[in-house]
Amino acid sequence: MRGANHWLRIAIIWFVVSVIVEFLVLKAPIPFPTMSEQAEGITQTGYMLFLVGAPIFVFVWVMLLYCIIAFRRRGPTEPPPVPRPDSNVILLLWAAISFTIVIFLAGWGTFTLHEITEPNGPHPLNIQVIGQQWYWTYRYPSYGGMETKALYLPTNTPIKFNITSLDVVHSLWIYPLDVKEDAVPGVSTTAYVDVHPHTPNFTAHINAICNELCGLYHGYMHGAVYIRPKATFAAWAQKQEAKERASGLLKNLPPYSLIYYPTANSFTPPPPQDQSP
Amino acid sequence: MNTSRRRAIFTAAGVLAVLTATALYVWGIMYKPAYGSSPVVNPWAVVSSTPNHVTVRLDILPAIGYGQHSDWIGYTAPDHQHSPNILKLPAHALVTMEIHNYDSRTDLRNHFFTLVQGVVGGSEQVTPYKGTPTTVKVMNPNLTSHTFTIPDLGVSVPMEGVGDTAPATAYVTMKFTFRTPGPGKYRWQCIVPCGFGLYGFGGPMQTFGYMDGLLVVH
Repeated sequence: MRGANHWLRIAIIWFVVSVIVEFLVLKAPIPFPTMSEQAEGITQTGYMLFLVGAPIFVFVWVMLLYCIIAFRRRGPTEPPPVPRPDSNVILLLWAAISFTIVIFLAGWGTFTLHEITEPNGPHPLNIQVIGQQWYWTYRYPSYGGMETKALYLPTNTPIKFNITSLDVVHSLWIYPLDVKEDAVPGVSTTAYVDVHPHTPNFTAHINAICNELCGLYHGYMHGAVYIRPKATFAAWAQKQEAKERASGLLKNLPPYSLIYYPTANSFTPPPPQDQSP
Repeated sequence: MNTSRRRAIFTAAGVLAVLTATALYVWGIMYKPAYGSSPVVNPWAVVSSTPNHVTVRLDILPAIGYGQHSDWIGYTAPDHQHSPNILKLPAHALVTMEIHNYDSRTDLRNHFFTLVQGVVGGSEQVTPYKGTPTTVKVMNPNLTSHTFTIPDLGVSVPMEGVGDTAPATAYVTMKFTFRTPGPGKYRWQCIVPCGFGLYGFGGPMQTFGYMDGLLVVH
């Protein structure tokens, strides 16, 4: 470029605009989920991507607009610009900065991925999520395999969801907890969550919805999720198990299994398919 | 009018036409019954009505016998000529449902739905063919046939099926009562797949007016 002060001007404009954009990003009223340890990790990763990406985005646009304005052809008699020779310093700096940013973000993302795909502590509470058109039900193997139509979750407890479906592919999405995982027939998928209360005796009533088109009433496939303190949850679970045992429902339910094969003789494996051409 | 302006007008008209056609198609799927008759409220299923108590009679037929898919299973009004796809009910009222099931037994996909849920007293009265009425809170999964489920109200009641050797005119009677909430629209469905395709959830299960419908609470 002609004149050294162009770089200074670009740097100043870039710095000022970056600060403004970073401030807007941090203060933006986006309702990120933060109700679980996993949700907080994902939200922080999202913010990190914004914070690192925003100055790069601003740099590209400042360069583009500055060059369009500062180096526009001012008249028919203006001579064409003289090409500058390549600069190894600039090339190496460019590569080094890009490499550092990418490695940093990859590392951060990998760490977060590890956090959300592993239990947050030993002996997580197993809860099975069963999707069927168009209803969610939940089984608690630690409580006699009882089944409920509302999901109750304790706080400060590592939880492991084993998710499956009895018919077509559904997807469990509990936004405030940032849990999203497919429910596939014949397969058990896994998600982990640790509800992270901001206050003691935290309670909440949120929703689980389906995030995979599963038929005519996919949009109506939602269920209640109740978050309770650990002691309240334990009391509810014991009472619910006793109620289902007394009513005879527990006797009707099949033995707990990670997957089910609904057929005419429900919950038996289907006959092998003839794969011959 | 120049060419670019004319092109813009035609493009806008085309987009509007596509959007209108899409909206009409979606309306046709969601609200217009497949059998083609009046899509609005079906009064033939309501046998008595006061502001506080409504009695609804429905039948489940293995082949509904009318409409576009006459061989499909479906809930129907007692006259066997009208599907109860939309039932109009008063708010905060008791609704007593009496359902005659002419269909045979089939296993529920999920035995959780053998439990009678969300009804007054937590039970239903079941009168088998040539049998005596009994109070049922959890149905024997060997006897089940269908369900009447209103997901948003937490109501789910299993229907008993007729035995294999029963005559074609035999039916089992289920009677239960639930309370309607405030005004709104609440869909109902059978949770048991016994139609065609996708393990039974094509056809009657996903076509409005057969094994699903709406409660319009006013």
